[in-house]
Amino acid sequence: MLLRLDHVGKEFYGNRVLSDISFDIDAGEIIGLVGENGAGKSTLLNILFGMPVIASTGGYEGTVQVDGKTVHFTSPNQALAAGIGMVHQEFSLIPGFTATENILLNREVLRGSSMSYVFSDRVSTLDREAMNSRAITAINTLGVNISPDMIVSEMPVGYKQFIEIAREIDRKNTRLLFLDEPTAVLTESEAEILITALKKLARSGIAIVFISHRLSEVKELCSRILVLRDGRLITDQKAEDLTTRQIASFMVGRESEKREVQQPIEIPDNPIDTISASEMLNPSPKKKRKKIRPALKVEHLWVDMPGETVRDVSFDVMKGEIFGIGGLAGHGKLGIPNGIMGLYPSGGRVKLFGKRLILNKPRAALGRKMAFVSEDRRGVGLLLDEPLDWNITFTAMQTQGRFLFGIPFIFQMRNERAMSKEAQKFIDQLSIKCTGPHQLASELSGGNQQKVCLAKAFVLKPDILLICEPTRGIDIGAKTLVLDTLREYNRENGTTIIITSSELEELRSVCNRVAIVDEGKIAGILPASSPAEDFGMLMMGQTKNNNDNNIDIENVNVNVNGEGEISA
Amino acid sequence: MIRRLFDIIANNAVPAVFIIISAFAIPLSGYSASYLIQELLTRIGRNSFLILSLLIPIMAGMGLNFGMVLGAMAGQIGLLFICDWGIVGIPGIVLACLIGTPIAIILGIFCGHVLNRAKGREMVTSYILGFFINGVYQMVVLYLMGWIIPITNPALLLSRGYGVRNAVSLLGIRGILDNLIPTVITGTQGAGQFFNAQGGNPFILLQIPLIDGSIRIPLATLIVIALFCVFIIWFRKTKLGQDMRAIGQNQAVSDSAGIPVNRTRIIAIVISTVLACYGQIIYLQNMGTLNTYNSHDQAGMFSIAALLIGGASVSRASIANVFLGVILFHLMFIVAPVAGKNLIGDAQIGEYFRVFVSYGIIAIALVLHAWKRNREREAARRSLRGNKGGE
Amino acid sequence: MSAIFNEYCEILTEFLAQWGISLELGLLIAALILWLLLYIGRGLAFFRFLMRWYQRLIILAGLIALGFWLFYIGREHKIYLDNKAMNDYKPFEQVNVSINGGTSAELMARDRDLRKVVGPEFELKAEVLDDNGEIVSTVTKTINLGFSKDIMINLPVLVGGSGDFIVPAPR
Repeated sequence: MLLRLDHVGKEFYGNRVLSDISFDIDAGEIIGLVGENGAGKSTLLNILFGMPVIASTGGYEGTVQVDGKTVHFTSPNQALAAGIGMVHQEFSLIPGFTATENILLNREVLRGSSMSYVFSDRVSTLDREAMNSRAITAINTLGVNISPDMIVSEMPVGYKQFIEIAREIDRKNTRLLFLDEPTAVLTESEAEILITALKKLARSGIAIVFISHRLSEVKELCSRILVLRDGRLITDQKAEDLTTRQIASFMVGRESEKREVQQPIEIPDNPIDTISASEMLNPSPKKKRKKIRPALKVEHLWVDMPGETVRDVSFDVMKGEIFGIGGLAGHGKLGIPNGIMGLYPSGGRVKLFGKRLILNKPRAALGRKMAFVSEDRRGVGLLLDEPLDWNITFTAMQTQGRFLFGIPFIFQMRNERAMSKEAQKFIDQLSIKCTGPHQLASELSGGNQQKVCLAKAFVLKPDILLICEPTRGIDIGAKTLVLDTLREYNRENGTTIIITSSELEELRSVCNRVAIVDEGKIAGILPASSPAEDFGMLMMGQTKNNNDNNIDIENVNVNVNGEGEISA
Repeated sequence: MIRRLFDIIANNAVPAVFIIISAFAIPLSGYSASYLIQELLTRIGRNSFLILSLLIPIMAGMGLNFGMVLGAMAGQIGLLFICDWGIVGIPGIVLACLIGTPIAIILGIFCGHVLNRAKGREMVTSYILGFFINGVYQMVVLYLMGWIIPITNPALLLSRGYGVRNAVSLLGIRGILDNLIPTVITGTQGAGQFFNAQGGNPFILLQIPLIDGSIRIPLATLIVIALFCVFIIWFRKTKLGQDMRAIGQNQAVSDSAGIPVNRTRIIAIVISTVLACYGQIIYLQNMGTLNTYNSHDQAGMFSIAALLIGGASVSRASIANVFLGVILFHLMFIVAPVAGKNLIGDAQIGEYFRVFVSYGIIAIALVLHAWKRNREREAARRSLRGNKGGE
Repeated sequence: MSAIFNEYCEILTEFLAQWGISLELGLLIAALILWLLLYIGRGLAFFRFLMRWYQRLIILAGLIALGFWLFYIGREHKIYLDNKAMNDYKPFEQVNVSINGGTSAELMARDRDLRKVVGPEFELKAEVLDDNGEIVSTVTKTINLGFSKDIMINLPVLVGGSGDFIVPAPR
């Protein structure tokens, strides 16, 4: 028994994130650890690695045993000394160093020197030859062929991952290796090489915990699979006893709950437009489809948003539709609306009602009657130290020249009375709890702030409304209110709404269709009524063999077969 | 491809411009080759050590160490003491170094601690820190010396009895290192003339027929500088040097690998400060006079400008950059005034050029650095995105 | 305290004198033996730690000693040569003085001259001349200044053979 966890639990300020986790790992075993964002994976890793954040928030419950002895790590160095290695999701490599220098970073082989007695070992020179041979040994253990003199910054991404792992292998006492999303940045062939290498490594007696959202890889590599959901260990089974579909449903959960799926929303007929959501969801005869013109057409969009990189995304949104964008954190779902609005460098083609939208210019997007509610409410969304009426009317004033009087371009003043009136209208409409339009935005609660953000977007009278994380950080009561407000606004004004959220259930309850983003690409677009597991499968990268992510509208319903798999 | 070409030009633009300017200015100045070589050799001996002291902080990712002025001050304090005690010759120089070293170490540790609190803004912080320590130095030299710190030599003190005079003669150590191993290169005809003028026998005499006149080579100084270069090459190969390179590229990664980042950064600054102290002593033994309140002022600025002209950047500098920098920077200073006079009739243009070029080149280097860093960051993100989506 | 120390040093010196070893050499040998002991025991972490500090101490001591030595050998001294009457000794008509074999200074009666020497020891050669310019007597003396700085040498006293020819230098 290499590692045993016994009833491990963790609470952050009364907020339970892990409870009653018990499992053990034997030498040479490969274990897959899967779970959604917030399922408790990272907290579990933090406990095992003795990250200071655990101790500073009151430690953890239960016991962790290594070789049958109870341990309680208080710093990552202790975990390393006990033989637990970790390969992080982000690369921790020095870009200008060679493979050898990185593998042996701070563990360099030194030549003895008389100076080292007077000062410290740090004035000894490096023994390059010995270092190279050690690096080659580590690389060979992985079964890959990388020159030890190659500079890391010139390596393909896949190689970097191998260098990271080689570094952990070189640590002589490493017996248990945690790999956090090691394949996320790899191409398929690279991932295959990695999986072969890991199998080889496991045969040499090193236990591996493989954390990935790509279920097929987890199934291929691991002998046992642990599924975490909401801080609990849902299952601990042999990999061959599980199907990917089962794993997905374990992860997403709630399959037993009888829940009501949002019916397609009635949209008032618009004389100009050619399609409504109901038409779209019920595919019409071919000749009628020719007229279909989406409100927003996104083609091959890429966005350079740090931590939310969008690689290549294409989708269409129909007029009057509520379109959801879901997916795991860090896979780029937030990048899509931010990129379309021009907040981060982006490229590709975005067409608004058939006309091309100039990217990278927020003002251009706003000028085309698009409104945006940022996920960063307190940073981007609100002027915290200004009163509500300012906040609500600010964008309209800036981009549409409303709430102003005087001579345009020469001398203009704020029309305070009109601003207050407009603000009051929204305060009543959205029942924002406040003392009046002159209260400061920073004094409101999270839910009410979110409503102010919505009001700010509504004032623009947008044709398309992009909303990021509308319910993040607000309580349940406020959540329903915000969602109801959106639904109502969509129904009354026929506004196209694109909601980005990490809560799948929320998307499924509000939206007509939901797109799932995986690794910067659209994994698939499903109607909200599809079963939760199907969404789960998409999130877990089960569409990797789909060459074309752009799923035609008419295919959405037709091609969802009984299994919920989307065929190419 | 165009990007690569652009990179090459951007990396070498500064030295190239200076080579072109010199190519025009040298013939205009009308100086003979032997005169220019003599002047350049003198200045290489005088300035190289100071500039070399900048290399180690650059390696540790701390940018250009404007704080080297601190070391210069420490060296001057050492020189003031040996002047007071009347220690001359090589023992005087070595003793000045011995006295300056602990002062430089203390100042370096202080500077290192401050810079650790200002990560990412090292250059501006060390620049301002130089001004602050300059104030402390002036207080010590102007008020404490001769009052609390015993200085007895009346030639050093102001007439009021305490405080050091503005100009201190370093006659006892003047040119001592430069002339330790007297070496002369002469043309066949110049040899006799030279001996008559100098009255001494050179230790080494080389005769090269092509040269008119004679060139004195500060051989010992050059040997010291060469030893220093060997030290830097050796240092890069040590564990400490390796750690500094790692920290220079990514502090977070180095920290997670267990390298003591803050401590290593302090060591880098201490080494640089101590070496700057020695550099200033070598510089002043060549000059022969110590301007108590000004000598250190320009040391940092001109050294940094020379290094940058040699093609170094804020994050990358080599020994070759140092020597190319010294040669180009000073070549221009030698020829520019005369060239200016011959061209426009005003020698002031040279002095104007000197200051203008120094500050201008530093400004350009900083802007280039920021621009490059942004581009690298962008490239890193692009690689993360994969090949989809072009420029 | 210092008395005990002095006594201890004396005993040590006597003890070492049996083998003809001076005190300085004895200290050096002791330091080397200690270093050897630490070197033999370097397998132990504690010994390595001790050795590091021991060696640092030795190097520090060495540097300080170097400083003193440099101070000692590199100091420039002003030597005032005085050909004036003092303690019954009368000034000479002319005396030529050369220091360390350098160019000689010609001092007439009641003359004073200044020479500079570097280092603690110098050789002074004084030639006393009579009216005809014939050398009457030559005195060669090696003088050690130690850590003192400037001195004045009264030549009549020096040539006369009395010991106290060194006079404080004028300021």
